[in-house]
Amino acid sequence: MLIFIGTGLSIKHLTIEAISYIIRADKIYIDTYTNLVPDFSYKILSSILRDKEIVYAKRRDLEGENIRRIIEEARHRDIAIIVPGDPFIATTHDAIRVEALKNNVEVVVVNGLSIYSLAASRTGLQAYRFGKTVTLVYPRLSKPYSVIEAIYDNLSRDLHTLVLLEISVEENKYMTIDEAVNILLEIDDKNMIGDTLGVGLARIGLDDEYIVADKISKLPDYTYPPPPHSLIVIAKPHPVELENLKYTCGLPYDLYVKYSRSKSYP
Amino acid sequence: MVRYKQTSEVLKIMKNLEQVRNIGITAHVDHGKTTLSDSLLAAAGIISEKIAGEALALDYLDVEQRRGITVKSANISLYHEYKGRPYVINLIDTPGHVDFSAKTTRAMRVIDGAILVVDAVEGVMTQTEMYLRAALEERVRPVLFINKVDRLIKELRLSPSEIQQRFIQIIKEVNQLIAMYADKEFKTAWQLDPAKGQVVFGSARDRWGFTVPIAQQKGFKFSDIIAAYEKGSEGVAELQKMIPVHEAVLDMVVKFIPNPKEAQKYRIQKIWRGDVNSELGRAMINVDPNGPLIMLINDIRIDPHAGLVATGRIFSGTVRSGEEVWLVNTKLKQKILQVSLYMGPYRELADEITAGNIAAVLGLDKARAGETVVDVRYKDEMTPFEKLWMISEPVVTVAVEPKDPRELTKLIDALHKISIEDPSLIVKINEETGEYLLSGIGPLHIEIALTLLKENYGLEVIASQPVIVYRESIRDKSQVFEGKSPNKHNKLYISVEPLDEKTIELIHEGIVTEDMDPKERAKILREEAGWDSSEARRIWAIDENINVLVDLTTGVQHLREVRDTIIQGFRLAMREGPLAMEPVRGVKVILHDAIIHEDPAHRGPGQLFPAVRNAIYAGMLTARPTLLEPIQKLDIKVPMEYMGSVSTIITKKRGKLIQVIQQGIIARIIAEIPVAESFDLAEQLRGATAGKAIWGQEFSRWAPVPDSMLMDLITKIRQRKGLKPEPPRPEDFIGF
Repeated sequence: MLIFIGTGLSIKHLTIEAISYIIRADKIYIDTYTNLVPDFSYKILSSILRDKEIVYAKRRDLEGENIRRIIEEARHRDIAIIVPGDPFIATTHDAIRVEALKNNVEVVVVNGLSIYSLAASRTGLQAYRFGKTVTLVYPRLSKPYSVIEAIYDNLSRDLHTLVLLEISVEENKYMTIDEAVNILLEIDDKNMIGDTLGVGLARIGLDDEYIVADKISKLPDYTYPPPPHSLIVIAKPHPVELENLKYTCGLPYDLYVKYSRSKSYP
Repeated sequence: MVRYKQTSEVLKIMKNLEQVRNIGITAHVDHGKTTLSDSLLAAAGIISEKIAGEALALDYLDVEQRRGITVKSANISLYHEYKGRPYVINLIDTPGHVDFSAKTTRAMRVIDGAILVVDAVEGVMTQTEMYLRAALEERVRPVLFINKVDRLIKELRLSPSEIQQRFIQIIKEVNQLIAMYADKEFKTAWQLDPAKGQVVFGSARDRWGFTVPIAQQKGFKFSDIIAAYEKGSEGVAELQKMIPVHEAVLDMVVKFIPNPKEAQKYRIQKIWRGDVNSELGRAMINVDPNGPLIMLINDIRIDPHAGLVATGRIFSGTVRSGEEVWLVNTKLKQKILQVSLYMGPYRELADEITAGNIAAVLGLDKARAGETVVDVRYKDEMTPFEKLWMISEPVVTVAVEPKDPRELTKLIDALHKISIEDPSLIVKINEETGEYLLSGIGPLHIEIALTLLKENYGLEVIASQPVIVYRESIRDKSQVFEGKSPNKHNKLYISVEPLDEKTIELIHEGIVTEDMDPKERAKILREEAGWDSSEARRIWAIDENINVLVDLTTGVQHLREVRDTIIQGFRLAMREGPLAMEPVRGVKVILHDAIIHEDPAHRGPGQLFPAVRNAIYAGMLTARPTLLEPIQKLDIKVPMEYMGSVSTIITKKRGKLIQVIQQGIIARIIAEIPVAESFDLAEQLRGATAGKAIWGQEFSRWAPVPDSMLMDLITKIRQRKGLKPEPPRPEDFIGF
């Protein structure tokens, strides 16, 4: 049996279902590269992990040729793959699941909390009003124009955009809100982003989480705890959303007043 | 003799070209080239007032000379008075090893005359002949210095008549060579006549020398010289005073070497391939100081303080600091920051230097030896003195390290310098092993470079066995393969096929390039190489080893954003092919379709590079892959009777004769052999022809290795690189 277990964004988010499958598993792969659960530690789980074979998996352990090997292991034993967040929200491990099912290996999915859920609940922005999600990556060979296009597209349809920021555990690079805003402003050919409202989410779900709303161009002015960070680009807020932004995300008073009255946005 | 000069005084002489000579000294190894240069520098080198004031000592140049300054300077200016008139003589450094490389040719191009030094004891040797031939081919007029006459007296104890016999023999041999190699109009005119003073007899080491006219004028006989040697050092000192070597040699130079004005009249049509009747051609023939600037850079050196110093000859116009000039081969505009003339071995600032002279310039840091510099306004009209250097592909590589590990920094520095001075030498660091790799156009080229490191930089190096670089290519068209990214969310559909010869040629010659206007490029490829117009218009990339990436996809989402990543993946795959991780050459890669993940985080280089590579490798391995080996062209000259033995050697080395031309008693053989077979070529050719063969070699082309050798060769290269001996199979790159 192949068990995909989502950890949620913090070790506090582990569900009873997750814990029981961890106890049951013979061998555990811990995905160490797709994301970061900062407070996840072997120590806390040591009582249930004891005696188990544990692989701290890098990208190459869960991709390419190695997929076949894991599936063969799972044919006769219970193999768990522990993944940050909710296992299949990021599409990283889809190939393993499909391959396992193709090869008649039983698959169990244990869900965990995802940024998708927390982004809406923690900010008070309505889940109905989120458009396409994007991941902002560092500009390398080309600039991430598709990200800005998706944001424009969402804004034109009056939808918020959840912007996930690149995490490259292997290169030890974690994009910060500060960096993200700078990249977005640079590729913002239509000059729409700077004055638009946004929410900076730092270490969401963790004990030291910090959430703040302001004009996007102002977001770098705040001091955030270290990554993981993400960002929401807000379409014209609904009155209740606006209240939430003020009371849960500390939206500055002048902006709150301005958008309570104004018909135009931003 | 007054040698302290103001720069302004020398510049004034330089403006009157009748008082200028540009010469070189050539000699077989150890016949005394350096000793003669040093004697001339010590006795006639110009000392600027500035330096004289600082040093105060008359023997200043002597001291410098012991440090080997003649080796280090690209040019040394000498001052000589003949019949009461002052002359500036530029003694330009010529390569110590003559091999008909571009380097020898370009040194000959900037001089109008050469002092051929021949050891009186050894006589005319192979290098004497090669130098003389190289000089005559560029219409450089020779004069002769028979050196080491003291050895005839002291060691061989020859009688005056025996000595005379020996002189006659040497002069006769040199004259025969002149008759053989000089152009028709100079065969007779340039014959050397000792009675006219066209031959100096002497000893560069003991610093005396005379011509027949000098002997007559001063009224001494050869027996007087023998008598002087019998007196010992006192007698030699008298000789130095009575018949100083520099006077005899420089008199001869002034009298018989043409001045730049005379020389450029008949030399331009020989050393320049452009139209001599064009405005530029006429300006050079007339050495017009007001004409467009044209300068041939023959030497590049790195000065620790000034940086890159380009020395060359101005054939037309005037070079001034602050002016922008065009580098014809590099295709670049650069600004001249400083102009200087040579005062002895040193550079001194000048405002401007006029046509016919030798100048050193700073600011042209993109120039390499052989570059043609021209007035910016004539950039599209100028034909360069030398073609582009792209043809010399570095195909042989050695790893070098200093014998003394403490000299590593010195070695790195020296390698950097020699690769700037000789652009066909390439220095790289092997990132994995940290080794310094030196690549050249053939084993002999590398050998010369290693000698240079020793002689000019005093570096003892350990060099690995030379390794030949191969290329990987294919001979068939492949089907379309699916290349998957490791996360399986991205799929690229790619096929490969060989590029046709015409396209390879167009890219090789720089007619078709990656950064040219795509419409123009498509037009050339369609019209000249028969490309399908839809393919020709959709070229994404052309890499340095002549591979092309074509995009034939339609309507693929997100392709724009991953385009550069795919191109980069293509370049990386082409750098190390599937057979033996050698560079790929002559392959057209076609992207037919692609599936790209929605999210940028899942379609980065880590995902796309393997997808590109896997599909290309699978394609190549199914398309009759092969290795290409470098082939070099040989231009051999031997006396007719050795033709048979030379052609046997060529055939045994998997080579073939391309053309045999009879030139009098000499056979000129043009042949091709694989570089892999050329390691002991020099030895074998010399052995089979009693040292009479002289030859030049250059890179010719890439050719597939014979199928019978292919697998062995692949295994050998793979083992050398620490790979498993068998090359991968196509299945290794598809499926999972």
